[in-house]
Amino acid sequence: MKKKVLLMGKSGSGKTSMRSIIFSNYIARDTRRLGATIEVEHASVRFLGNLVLNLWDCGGQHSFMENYFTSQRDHIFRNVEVLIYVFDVESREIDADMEYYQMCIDAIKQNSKDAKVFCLIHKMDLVHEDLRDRIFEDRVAQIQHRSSPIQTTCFRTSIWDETLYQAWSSIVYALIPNVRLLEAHLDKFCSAADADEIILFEKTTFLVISHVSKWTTEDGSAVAAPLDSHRFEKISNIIKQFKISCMKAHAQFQAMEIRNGRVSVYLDMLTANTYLMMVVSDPDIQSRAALANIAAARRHFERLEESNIR
Amino acid sequence: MLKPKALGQVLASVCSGGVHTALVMNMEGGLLAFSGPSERDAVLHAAMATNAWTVYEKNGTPMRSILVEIESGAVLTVRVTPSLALCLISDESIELGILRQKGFTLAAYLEAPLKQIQA
Repeated sequence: MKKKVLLMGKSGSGKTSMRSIIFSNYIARDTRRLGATIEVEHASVRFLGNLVLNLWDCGGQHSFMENYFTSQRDHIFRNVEVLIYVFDVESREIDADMEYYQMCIDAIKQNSKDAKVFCLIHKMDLVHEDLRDRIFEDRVAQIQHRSSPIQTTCFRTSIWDETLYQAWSSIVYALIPNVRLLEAHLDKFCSAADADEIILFEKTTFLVISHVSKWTTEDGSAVAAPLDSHRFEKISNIIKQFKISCMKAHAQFQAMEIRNGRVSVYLDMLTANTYLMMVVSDPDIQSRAALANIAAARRHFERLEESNIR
Repeated sequence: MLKPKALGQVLASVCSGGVHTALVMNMEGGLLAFSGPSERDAVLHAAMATNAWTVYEKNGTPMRSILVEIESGAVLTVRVTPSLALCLISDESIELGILRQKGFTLAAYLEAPLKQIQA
């Protein structure tokens, strides 16, 4: 199953850097050596085994952008599943940026009106912390005004923290077929294994595909645990960095088990394309039992994935 | 799938009248579930019991159960499935016959559900 994903935005806004970090195991520092993208760079990324994302990383320089809206318009904007538009928050030419964006959205409206549109307000680390909310909301308002009636989802991102993973997780979530079915099965697994939280990651990018939380108190009643709502993308970020460090030391990261006084966390491969993280807060549950359950779930999810591929 | 809490409760139900610890372990000595006063002791018991078991098995005798009398009571290890075993540890207040009865009944009860997890 091939899905076309357009990655557009002005020159220097960070598109190739983002792509390199998420899909090519770059760490944030490595992106310094990337140069300007010439024309359109096509990258075919395998995701979840049978899903191929055709990433069109469109060079943002003025001359290329002109091409996109004239001679190459139909070729580029047809059959698009997802448009990701990147805005550099530091740009001095906000109006010119919006003009380009308008042209993209108009082309999308004509050629792929069912496409999902994601707008990333990027390089947020360069904005002072106190001003971030206001600037973000201001840009979002402008974007949504220009995009209507198309609905856009906007994210603030930076390659230096976990916000990049949050945005891209949401983007790929929108592309995965049968994601609801997967979630239903994860939910059952979570209840059956007496786990508190289960997170499913894609294997190479470590983007969160899905998660189920069932935190309960001693007497069994559900509790909204005062947990960090950004923990999923933070975990993606941390584990991905760790995985890259392991690769650099010529070691293959396979699995991890962390126990402390309050919680046990098991991170292991679930299927050929996914990783599972299981969080158990009940201290009486032995790690062998949790691992036995993960092994049982593995067989189940492998069968599920196979039937999905067919 | 194994419901660890449920297994823990079943093991707790046998811990009465002299039996102070009950545990389920795999044949490598890994503890799957236990009911008893101390987790650390339970982990140790599991390792020692399977150690003794594998020594006998290596010497050619396929084992069904091992009952050991010790200074402070007795230890009964019963095979439940080809890869799992049940271990009951008691103090001196209980007779060996009753201990065996408890052990074998519980093992028979757990055999069917635990076999499903292996497949």
